[in-house]
Amino acid sequence: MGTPSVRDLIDSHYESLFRYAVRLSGSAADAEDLTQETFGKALTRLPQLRDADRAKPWLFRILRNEYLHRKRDDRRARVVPLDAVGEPTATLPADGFEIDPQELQAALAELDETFRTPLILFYFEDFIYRDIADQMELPIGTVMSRLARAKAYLRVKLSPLHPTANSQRPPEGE
Amino acid sequence: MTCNLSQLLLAVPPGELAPDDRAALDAHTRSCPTCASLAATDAAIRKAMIAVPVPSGLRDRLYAQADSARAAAWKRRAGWVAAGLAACLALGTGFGAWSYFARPELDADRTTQWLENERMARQQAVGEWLTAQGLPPDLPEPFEFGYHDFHGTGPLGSAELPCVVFRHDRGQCRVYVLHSGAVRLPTGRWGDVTGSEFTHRTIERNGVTYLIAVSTGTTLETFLRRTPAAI
Ligand SMILES: [Zn+2]
Repeated sequence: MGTPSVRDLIDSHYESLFRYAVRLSGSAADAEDLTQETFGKALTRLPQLRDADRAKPWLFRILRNEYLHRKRDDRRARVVPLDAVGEPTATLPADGFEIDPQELQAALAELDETFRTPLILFYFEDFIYRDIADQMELPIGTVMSRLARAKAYLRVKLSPLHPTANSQRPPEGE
Repeated sequence: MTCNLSQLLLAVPPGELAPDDRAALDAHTRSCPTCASLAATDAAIRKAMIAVPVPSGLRDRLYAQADSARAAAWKRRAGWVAAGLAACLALGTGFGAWSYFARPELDADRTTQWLENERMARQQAVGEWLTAQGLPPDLPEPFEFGYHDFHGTGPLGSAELPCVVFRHDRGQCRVYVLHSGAVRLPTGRWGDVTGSEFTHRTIERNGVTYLIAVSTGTTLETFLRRTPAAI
């Protein structure tokens, strides 16, 4: 199987990459920049992509690394103490439960990237533990525990029964 | 299925679940309000997570970017096309032959050429930047600049040092460049804030120390230039 062309890569993955970038950075303008940079780098590294089926995690990884370079300085600025968060005890309604994407973005922005990325990738569905672990250069066990803690945090934060659920600060962005 | 098992499976990325597990999980959540509520929360978060509008012109802008990156290589070919045209005219072989010469090259060809240009440009940019830092322009190993990712100051312990980063599919290599004795170097294995672990060694050359660190899963050789035939 040959290496895919850059246009093939763009067609197949630009939308999910852009969505990932928005969720990661909280800004559509930054996300577009990151997406462009990702394909620019992908073009120079195309020979590294030996298995075309792995193109998606490969591209996501390039995007994440680019994001980390840009954010390096304020990475530790907002970290939520995840240990303090427990499972929600109340039962949520099973139907008609909607989450405002803006509220979700605000909740994500409060998380350190090391928790945010596994969370986003988990909800993007087509990533398995191995993909997330590879992208973050972490052991699978670490990914599993970060994911569990981050999900518990998000559930509490976004639960309609949570007292502060409606007093979120506005999403990130210029 | 017990609630314990159900909640364990709910926590797993959907792609990991075998179809049987998936079916059993669905059956359980249909009859258990607690697990149904957890599944509904996940579904709602998932829906919100991907609810991001994608700008309508983005694909075209990405296409344009990819094309202009290739144009650099194309320009170098233009000389050849002109020479081909001159030869055709001289030989009277006519327009058919001209259109053969003018036909776009295979993408792979152009990409290879462009890569080579990119490599040289990056190596030069790094060299100029190192010189501007008062350091020698060349690194002590034949690095593959196709993997060059970043150069600038990078954190090492509490210091910020000139650093060139190469990135491969399997990990990264950082080369810190400093005047020998300027900083006390870390020993043993170390990690960074992204959770990567590194092994490192130093090379001394003409009063300059190169601290080369590679992340787990790679070796220095991963980042070195191979013979053209191997690429
Ligand atoms: Zn249950």
